[in-house]
Amino acid sequence: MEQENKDVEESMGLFEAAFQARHVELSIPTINSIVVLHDDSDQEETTMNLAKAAVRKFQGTLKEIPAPVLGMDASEKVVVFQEALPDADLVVVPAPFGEDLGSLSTESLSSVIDLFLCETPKPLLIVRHPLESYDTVLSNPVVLLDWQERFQGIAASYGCCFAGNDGSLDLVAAIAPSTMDEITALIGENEDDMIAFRNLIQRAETRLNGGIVAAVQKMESQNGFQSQFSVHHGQRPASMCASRATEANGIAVCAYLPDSQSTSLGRMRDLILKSKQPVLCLPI
Amino acid sequence: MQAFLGPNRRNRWLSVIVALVWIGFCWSILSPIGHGESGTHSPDSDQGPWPMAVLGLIMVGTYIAIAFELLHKSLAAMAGACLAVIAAVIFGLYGEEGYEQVHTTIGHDLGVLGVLLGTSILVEIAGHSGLFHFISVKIVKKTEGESKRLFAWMAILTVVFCTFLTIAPGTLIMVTLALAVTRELKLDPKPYIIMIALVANSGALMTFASGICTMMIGSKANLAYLDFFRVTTPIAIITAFVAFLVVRTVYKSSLIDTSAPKERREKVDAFDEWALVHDRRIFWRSAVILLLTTIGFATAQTMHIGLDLVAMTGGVAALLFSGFDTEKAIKKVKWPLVVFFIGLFVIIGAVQESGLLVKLAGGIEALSGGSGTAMMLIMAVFVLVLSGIVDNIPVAATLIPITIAMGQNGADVTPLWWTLVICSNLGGNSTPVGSVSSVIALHALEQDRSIKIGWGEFLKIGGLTLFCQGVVALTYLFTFLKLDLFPRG
Repeated sequence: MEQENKDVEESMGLFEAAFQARHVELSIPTINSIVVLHDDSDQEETTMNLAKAAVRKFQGTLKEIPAPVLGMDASEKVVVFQEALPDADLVVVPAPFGEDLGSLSTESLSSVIDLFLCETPKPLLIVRHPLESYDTVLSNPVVLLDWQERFQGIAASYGCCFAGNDGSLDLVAAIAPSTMDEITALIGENEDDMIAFRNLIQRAETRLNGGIVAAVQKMESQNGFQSQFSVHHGQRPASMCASRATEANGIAVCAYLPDSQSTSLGRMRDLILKSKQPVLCLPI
Repeated sequence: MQAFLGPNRRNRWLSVIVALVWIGFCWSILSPIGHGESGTHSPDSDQGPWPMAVLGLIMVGTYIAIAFELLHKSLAAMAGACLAVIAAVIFGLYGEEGYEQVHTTIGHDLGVLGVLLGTSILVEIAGHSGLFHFISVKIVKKTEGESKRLFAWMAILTVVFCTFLTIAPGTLIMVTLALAVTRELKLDPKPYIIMIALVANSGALMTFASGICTMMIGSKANLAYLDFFRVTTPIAIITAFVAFLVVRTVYKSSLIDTSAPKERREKVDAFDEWALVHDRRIFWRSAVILLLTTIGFATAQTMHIGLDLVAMTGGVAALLFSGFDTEKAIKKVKWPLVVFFIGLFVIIGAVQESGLLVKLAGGIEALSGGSGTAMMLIMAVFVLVLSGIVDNIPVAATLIPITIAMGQNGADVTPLWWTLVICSNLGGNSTPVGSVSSVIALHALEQDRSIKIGWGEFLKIGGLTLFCQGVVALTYLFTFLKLDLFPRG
């Protein structure tokens, strides 16, 4: 009966997604002005190539900001950059931005990137690792969906924008293991109850994302890209999105609230650290 | 085993009743034959009373364990298969080939298993593509949420979905649709759920590939795919309509709208079917592959290929081109059902070697006095009654070799094959455990709404439906027999 229960919950989730779909309006952003920040690091070439690929893709203009002078601290660097960004639609940034983090590089972003995430109200395309192809990567966005509608709308809109006419958009809803841990703490470790709760949460995820799936499908009809939606559990959302981006040879996309106390910012940092692919960070 | 050893007296009493019915049936049809035929030791013939009694007991014991869920049905079939093979070896029933005959028996049924495997993968992918969910929400929107129109369209969709997806996935989609839509429109879900459970069994009759029993009988009897459109499709539509009418009449007072038409329309208009499509590639490709597989089934005989090849090709094509996760799709194959089938085939094979099935075939012929009409009546009543109590698959699996034996004795078995197809599918309507559609529907209703439909309530409506459908089906079959309308050759 376990499989039957799962099938019932899955199918119920699908219908509820259609019956309770919140209307989501996607508006495709225009990307004209692309700004690339230099840091004189090993990532220079990758960042530059990706920025050029973005210019080709969106037929925009490229503005280069030279590396800051030596001796400036992180906040000074950010102030200098901010002054050069008012018209930017997309900012391509290398990470860890000239800092040598040594063994901490898997756990910490640089102080400049940390400040950027909190203080720059522009979409940031952060590059941490070398890439093999540049044009393809930009056409395969993997969007990490959040339960909050305002996060979903912006992330999906940028996802559609990058997928363009011939790309592939992957919408990923992931259930955090911490959610399951909290449920285990509340109800105990009865396996049957846990399976039932996992099915219910999966159903809820499907239902809650109904509006965004419908909106992306309609956008797909107009634009011609391909999209898919899936719900995952068992891995942290950031890890899930990062591994999907690697599989798709695309970019990871996630929206966040640029408030140092917000969980979405923590997840954003987590995604940048986990991802081998560029990450598009969308502040709200 | 817990159910049998525990305080559930009903199960124990029902087990005894089924055993007595079965023994009575066997006795009544075996007694006219007398003892003159015993003593020969060729395959499929009389091997003496002890092998027949022991293997008959193992078979009946297995069916009782399945019927009353004393054991999981796959475990019951495997346990029965082990006992049957041991008994057959002890009695030396496997003749010259010896133990190897067990594998030969399974090999004879690989065609059925191939069809089951291929269609399982294909319908799993098609069922999860969102295609059928999409169609159903589109149709719900057309009804504007009006309860009577919704009820009628749900009956039609149930038949269509069961036709293309087979009974279990078709019922699952329709039951969850009914639960979700009745919640949104604040309607009583009970009539919808019961109607779907009963109509689904008619859907399983529509084509060769619509139901497991249908596939099993069709494969063994070499019934042509296109002949199903001539014989079973009309009766499937008629019996579905009968079930629809019965439920609609019984639950007339529950099928009322609870909100104003304008409010209902607005609510239904807000349903967004595009929320169901998670991947358009899977959506369209699975639709095309399903269509091509259906065409493949229809033309397999003229192309001189097996239906298992068509089903497997459809399954493989779905895996290759839909983009669906292969491991996930293969995991979703009903492996317990495959194991159940293998166990069942081994038991039937051993019982066949004891000569019991030949005896039963001779008994039915003797009881009917060689009359085709009487033979059809006996088989119809027996299958209709027993399919509701025991799972309809073992009933069909037992009657297949009996029908083959009757054919070998010179009886005209073509009408009997069609009787078996029709009655084994409809027979499940009488009880809540008689068919997979009732089990899924009632379980989902209880799981989602905490509404439990007891045996008493289901027996009333299911029994009435089966009675009406039985009368209609028998009239239909006799008309075909008298007018010689059954396709032959």
